[in-house]
Amino acid sequence: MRIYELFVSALRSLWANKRRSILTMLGIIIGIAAVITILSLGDGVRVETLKSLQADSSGRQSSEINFNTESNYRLGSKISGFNDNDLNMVQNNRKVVKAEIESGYEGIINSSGIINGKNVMGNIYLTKKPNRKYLIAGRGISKNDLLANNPVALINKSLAKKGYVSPKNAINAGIELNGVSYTIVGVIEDEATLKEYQIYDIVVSKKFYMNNGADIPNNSMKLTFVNGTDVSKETKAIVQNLNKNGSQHSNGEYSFIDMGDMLKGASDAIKSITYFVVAIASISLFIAGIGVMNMMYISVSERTQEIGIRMAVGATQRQILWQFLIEAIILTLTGGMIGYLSGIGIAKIISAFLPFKAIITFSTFLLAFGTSTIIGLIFGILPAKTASNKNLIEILR
Amino acid sequence: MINLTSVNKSYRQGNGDYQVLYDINLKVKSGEFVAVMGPSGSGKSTLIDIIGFLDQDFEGSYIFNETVVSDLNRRDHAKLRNRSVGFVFQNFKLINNQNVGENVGLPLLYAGVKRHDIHVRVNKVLDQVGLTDSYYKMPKNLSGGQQQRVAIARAIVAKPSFLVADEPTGALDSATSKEIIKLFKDLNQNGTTIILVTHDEKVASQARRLVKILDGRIQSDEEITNEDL
Repeated sequence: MRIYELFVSALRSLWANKRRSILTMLGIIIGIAAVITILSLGDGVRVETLKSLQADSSGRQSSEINFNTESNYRLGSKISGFNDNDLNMVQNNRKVVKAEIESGYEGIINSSGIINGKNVMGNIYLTKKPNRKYLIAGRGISKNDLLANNPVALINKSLAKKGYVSPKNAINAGIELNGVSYTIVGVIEDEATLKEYQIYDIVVSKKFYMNNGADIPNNSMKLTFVNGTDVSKETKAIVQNLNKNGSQHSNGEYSFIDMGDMLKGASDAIKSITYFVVAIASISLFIAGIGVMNMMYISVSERTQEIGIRMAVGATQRQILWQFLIEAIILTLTGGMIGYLSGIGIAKIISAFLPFKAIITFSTFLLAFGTSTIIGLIFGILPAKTASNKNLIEILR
Repeated sequence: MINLTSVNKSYRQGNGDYQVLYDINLKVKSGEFVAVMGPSGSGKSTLIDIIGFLDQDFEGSYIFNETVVSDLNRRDHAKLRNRSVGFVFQNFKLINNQNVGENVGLPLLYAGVKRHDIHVRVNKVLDQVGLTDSYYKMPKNLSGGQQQRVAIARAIVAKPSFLVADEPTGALDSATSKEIIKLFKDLNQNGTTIILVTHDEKVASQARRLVKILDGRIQSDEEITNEDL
């Protein structure tokens, strides 16, 4: 018998029992639809999370490359990690929308200074606003100081002690930074931090500092990428290139904080949650499979006469087995495909009310296709065996 | 063509075996029209199931055209059934949710014939049994006689070596019976070997050889000479 004919006769007998076939299919449809909906939404959440982790608040994807000299915290290092050549090189990358060279981290730079004849080093916080944080003695930098370009500085307790024994003595004394003298107007705590992780020792007005010939090393480059770029991968490539060809590659190291690992962790977490929910939804598929088995058993016993007739005209056991097996598979596969489409539909409808889009991948199609076929096979084989093992003489009498 | 030598058959029933056929020796040549007659319970249906390749579970030897039937596996047995024999049953045994054409074409479907060729062949056979233009009718819309014609068409569609009919007129009125017997005779005159089981003497008398069975044993086997047609 031709395989095509097996399919035709299977379809015909399913059609002859439309209502029963559809009801049986319904179980598979619901099961597959649930799984596909969850997978699509899960994928949507995952991709959306990755995007938001990669992009800045305005939705752009960006990263930052830093240059560190070998003597990382040596004060007074005036080496700029990036120059115009580096900038051009980075901008040649087509994925890069914008590349900007910035100075230091968040307005903090390393510098050396002289306090009461002693060489000291410290992190200088270049402020643009009045500042009196962590103040323990004297006064803060006022608005007036900023407007009038007063050469005033705040130093921390340990610097004050080093230069003038006690914080009190340091007030109104001097400190030389970058060759310019500043008046110490206040003393701050030792543990002064900016944004909770960058420690600074000295606070001065940024405007004054810059105007007095201070050369702020350009040790940071901010990159903005075309949307949809694998930021981690592109940045890594640029950093590698800079370490080979960058203007200062022999004096230090270019590096960046790789968000990739962090993103992968988040992505894995969402994935495993999704799979867990899918596993629960799969229970309904199992139940649906038992429904298919039940229906096939009923079908086999109802069509005993037909099986006998087919055998009497020369159908082999194998042909009978395949006929019923194919019926079961057509049933589950059709259910699976309808379920797949409804799953997509449901996911789309749900995601219309959610801040992210459902994502339908080809692999979910394969999953629906494969699962429904396997369910048909597993739950169809026993009834089909029963059909093919029937005793011909007993059936016909 | 058909050669049965000391065939015995028994059913397991409860604790003991219940023997239905005792030492059957029967030869049928190509082109014969044999009637097997006997009262119900005589074992004639069992015999014909063995001859028609429906039942493989017997003792003794059955050689069909040099094929040892009892040595075949189930698959080859089914193939032999598909190609070499056409069965006609008392209650027609048609698949009710398939149309006449599909019922008739069933043996060809299992023989692997192309759909188009099946269609052509089925229409030809339907003409032969007097059911022209009935391809798309449903069996339930036909009379008993017509249904049996469909069954006969199905039996001869694959051009088998012989035809086996188990009480083919048992469910029909006498007028229709006559028509069906006439059809068998026509087929036989065109060269089809026919083995027919009946308990109706009128029907049996239309054959050319009569085998009588009683209690599982062949009682007589003789030519019928007083043909009145």
